[in-house]
Amino acid sequence: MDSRENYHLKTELRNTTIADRMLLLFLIIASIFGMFYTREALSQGSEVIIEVSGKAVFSASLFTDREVLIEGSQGHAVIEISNGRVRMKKAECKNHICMSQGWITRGTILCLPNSVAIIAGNGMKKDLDAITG
Amino acid sequence: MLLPDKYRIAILSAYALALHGFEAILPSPIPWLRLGLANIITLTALLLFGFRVALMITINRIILGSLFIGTFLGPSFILSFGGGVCATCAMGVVLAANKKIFGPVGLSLIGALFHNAAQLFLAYGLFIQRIEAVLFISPIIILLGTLTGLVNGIVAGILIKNLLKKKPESLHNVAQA
Repeated sequence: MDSRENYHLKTELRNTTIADRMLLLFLIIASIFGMFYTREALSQGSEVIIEVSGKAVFSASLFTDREVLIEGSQGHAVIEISNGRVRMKKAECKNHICMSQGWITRGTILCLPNSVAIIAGNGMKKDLDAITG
Repeated sequence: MLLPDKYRIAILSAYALALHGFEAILPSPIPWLRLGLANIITLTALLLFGFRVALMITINRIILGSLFIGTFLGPSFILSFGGGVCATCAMGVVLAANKKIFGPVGLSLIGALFHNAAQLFLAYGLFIQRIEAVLFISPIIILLGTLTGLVNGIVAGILIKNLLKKKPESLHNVAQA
């Protein structure tokens, strides 16, 4: 049989129904929209964890405004949580690098002299559990 | 079930199994991304020979495939089985509801969507239980599934048309199906 008589990609694409195309468009748009939406929603649900010498001493949502007084290894540290952000407000350390870092929404503020770590926005673990067959 | 159907189930299961095994050895950029090539056979069977043949092929393929790969009754077998059966049922229901509205491409997209949805649902219910992890990964999996479903649907459509054209006499009960 002449291969030109066979059906090919172009014919097949032309033969898709309107419903086929609508469904394809809908799925692609919905999943791309969903990707952004989940990213947004997850960053809103994030929390802040404060560690002293590697031990978590405090954890709270980033969306409850409060000030926290933490006893570091050298002295007090005041951490302010406000409007989804967190900062080191006051710290009894020498160089105040932690304070000059300012507000963060995700990531870490480290105060090495005082052994205080502020970890914001819990990072998602995307470990591989299984591969389906 | 007619005798020709049994032969068809056997030979189409073998095709599906071969594609399933071939897919397992293909290197993939993302480990959990699967092309779902075996769904081409399921879809072809569904459109040419009806829902029961397609479901039997899916079940045969997943059970035998997992026996060969060594994941029988393991977590990935449960996910695969749930996804495959759910996808075939969804395609069957849509085809039974209306034969004209969706072509092979649309049916393949529905199959891919339900396959992924069932797998995510099972994974959440049985293994992960972290809703944010499942929600996070869902749109990515559904987007990739849509793309592979599109390719599979096009291939299945070409396959069906060429089969109908070349050997219409061997598919004599198509009209009844």
